[in-house]
Amino acid sequence: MKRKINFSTAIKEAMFESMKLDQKVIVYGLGVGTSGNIYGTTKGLKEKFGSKRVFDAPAAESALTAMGTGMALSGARPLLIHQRFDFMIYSLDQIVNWISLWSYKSAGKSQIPITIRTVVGKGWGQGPQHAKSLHSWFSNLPGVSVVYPSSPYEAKGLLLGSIFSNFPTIFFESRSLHASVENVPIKPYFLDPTKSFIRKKGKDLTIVGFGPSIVDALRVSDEIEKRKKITCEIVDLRTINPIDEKTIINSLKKTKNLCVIEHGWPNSSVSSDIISIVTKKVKLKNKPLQVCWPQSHVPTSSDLEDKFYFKISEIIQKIEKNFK
Amino acid sequence: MNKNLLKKIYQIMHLIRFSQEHLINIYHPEDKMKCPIHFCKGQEALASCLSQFLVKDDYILSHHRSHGYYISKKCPIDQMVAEFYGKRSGSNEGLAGSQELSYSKNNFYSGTILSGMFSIALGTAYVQKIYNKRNITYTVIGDGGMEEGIVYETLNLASLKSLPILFICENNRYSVHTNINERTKSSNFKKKVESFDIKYIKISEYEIESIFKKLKEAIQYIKSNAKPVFIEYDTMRTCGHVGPEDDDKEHDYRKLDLLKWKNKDSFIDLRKKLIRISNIKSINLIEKRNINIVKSAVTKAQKAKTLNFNTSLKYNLIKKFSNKVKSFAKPSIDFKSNQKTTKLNPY
Repeated sequence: MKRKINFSTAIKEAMFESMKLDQKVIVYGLGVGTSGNIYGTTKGLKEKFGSKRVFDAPAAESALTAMGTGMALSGARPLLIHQRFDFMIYSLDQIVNWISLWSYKSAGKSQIPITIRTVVGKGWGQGPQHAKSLHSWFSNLPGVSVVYPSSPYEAKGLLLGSIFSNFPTIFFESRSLHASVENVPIKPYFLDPTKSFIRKKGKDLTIVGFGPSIVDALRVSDEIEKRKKITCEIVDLRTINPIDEKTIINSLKKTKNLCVIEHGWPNSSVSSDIISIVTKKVKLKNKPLQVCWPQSHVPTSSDLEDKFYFKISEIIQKIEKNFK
Repeated sequence: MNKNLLKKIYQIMHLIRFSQEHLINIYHPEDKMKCPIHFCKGQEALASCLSQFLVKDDYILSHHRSHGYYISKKCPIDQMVAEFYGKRSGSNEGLAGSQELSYSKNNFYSGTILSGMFSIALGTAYVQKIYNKRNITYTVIGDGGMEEGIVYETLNLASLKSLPILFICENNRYSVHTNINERTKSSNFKKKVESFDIKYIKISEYEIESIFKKLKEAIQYIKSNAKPVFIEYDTMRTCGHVGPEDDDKEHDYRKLDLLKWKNKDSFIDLRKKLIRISNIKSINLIEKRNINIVKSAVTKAQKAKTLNFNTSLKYNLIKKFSNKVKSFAKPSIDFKSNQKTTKLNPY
C-alpha cells in the first residue's frame, strides 16, 4: 500500500523500519533525540527503541565517526547523523584514513557497514558556513559509497539499502527536498544504492542529475517539451560513488546530447566527471552543457543568494542556446 | 608470581624480541620487505603481560608499533611476516604491510595515522557494553598520538558512556625524533585523563611482576566498575623509529635516555630471573621453539606468491548486503515537476 508522504517522513520511516528489522542498527549524532530531532526525522525514535540504540552525542564529529567505525567493525549497523554537512568535515580523517580503506587493507576480510546521513542547507542566509555541498570530494575516494536521493520514494528505499549494505555509505540529503511529496509504500523496501536509473524516458536530450537537481531536471524538461518538439531523458544518478557508467552511456548513445545539472561547484566535480566519461565514449551532436553553482562560496545576503542559485529559466536559456 | 606464569609471559616476550631482532637483521641485506616497519624492540613487556588476560572476543586496536600486541593476541607469525614481504599469504594479503597490520579472526587491528585506533575503540566497546558482552577493548597509543585533538573527544565519550576500554599509552618520550619536552608544557597525562573522570594508573617499573600486577588491577577495575581505565606505561624503544637502522647513530637524539634505560630492560631482567628460579634448559627450549617459528615464517614468506592485482582492486568496495535484503525494489516515477521545496526558517 502506498500513500503520499514527504521526504523527511520517508527518512524517518526508513530509520524506524531499519531498527525494527535489525536490533544491531544504532542511530546517533548531535541533536538526535532533542526537540529539533534533526528536522523532525528522528522524532519518537529514542522513545520507541531506547537510549542505548538511539542517543544524542557531544559535538565531537571525529570521535563519533570513529565510534561508528568501531561499532560497525564489531557487527553493528551504525547510522551517524550530521544535521549540517559543514560539521562533518571535522571527521575527514576518519572517513578518508580509516573507513574508506578498511575493506581494501584487510583484503576484504573486514567490512565497515556504517551509514552517515548528512544534510546540506539551502536558503534563508545559510551562507558560506551552512550551505556547502562537497559531495564531489567523496566521489573521488575509493572504498565509500556516496548516495544522493532525489525524492521521498528514493530516500526511504535508499536509506534502507544503505543501512543494510555491508559497505560504508555517505548519504547526502538536500534540505530543500525535505518538504517534497511522493507516493511511498508503507512497508520497508530496498533500493540498490550502487545503481542509477532512468527517471523519465526521452529521445533527444539526456539530462543527468542527482539529489535536488532532479526537481530542476523535471521542470526544465516539462518546459522545454512544451516549447520544442523534443523529448528529454532524465538520468537520476542516485549514486555518485561508484558512478553507474552503463546507465549514463546507454542513454547518451540514444540521445547524443548531454546536459548535467549539479548543486555544487563546477571544478573537479561530479558533473565535470560525467562529461569526461561521456565524451570519451560517445560522439555527441553538440557540446555537453554543465550547469553548476558559480565557483564561489555561498553568500548570506538574501538578494545575493537569489542570484547565486541557478533558476529554471536560466537552465532553459542555456539549453536552447547550446542545443540548436 | 608463579614460575609457570612467568614462563608463559617469557615465551611471548621472547617471540616478540627475537622476531624483531631477526627481521631487523635480514631487512636490509635482503631488501625484500619493502614497506615501512616500526619495530617494537624494548617495548615488549606490557604486550607480553597482556597476553595472559586476553580472550578471543576482546579487541586490540593498536597504534603503528603493533607487532607485540599482534603476537600477544595470538595471531600467527607466518601471516605477519608474509605481510611484511607483501605476499598473498600475509594477514592482509600484502595490502596493509606492517603499518596497518590486522588479523580480523582474532579481533586484532592496527593503524598508523595517529590516534585513529584509540578512538575506534569507542565503538567496539560500545557494542560490547550494550549487547552485554563481558569483553574489553584494549587500545594502544603513544605519547605522540596523545597530542591529537580526537584523543580528548574520545576520553570524554568513553567516560560519558562508561565504556569497557583499557587505554594504554606507551610513553617512550619521542614522537619520531622529537622529545616530549619540545612538544608540550603539560606532559602530565594523569591530570588530563583524570579531568575526564577516568581512572589513571602509572607503570614506571620495568620488572614484569610489577607490570603484571598493575595491569591486573586495571582489568579488574574495568570489569567490576564497567568504566574505562588509562594506563601510562613508561618505556623506551631500543631500535630506530622506523626500519632496521639505528637512527640514534645518525640523529644522536637520545643518548642519555638510552643510557638510563640500558639497565631497565624488562626482557633481560625476566630472563635472568627465570634462569635463577627455573633452569636454563627449559628457557633454551622456549627460545629454540620461538626461533624456529620465526625462521620458518621467513622461509615461507620468501617463497610465497603475490596477490593478483585485479583481485586487489575488488577489495575496495564489496557489493554485499545484509540477509534482510532479499531483493531490490524498482524505482518509482511518481515524483513530478510540481514539487514544492522546503522553505527554511531563520534557524
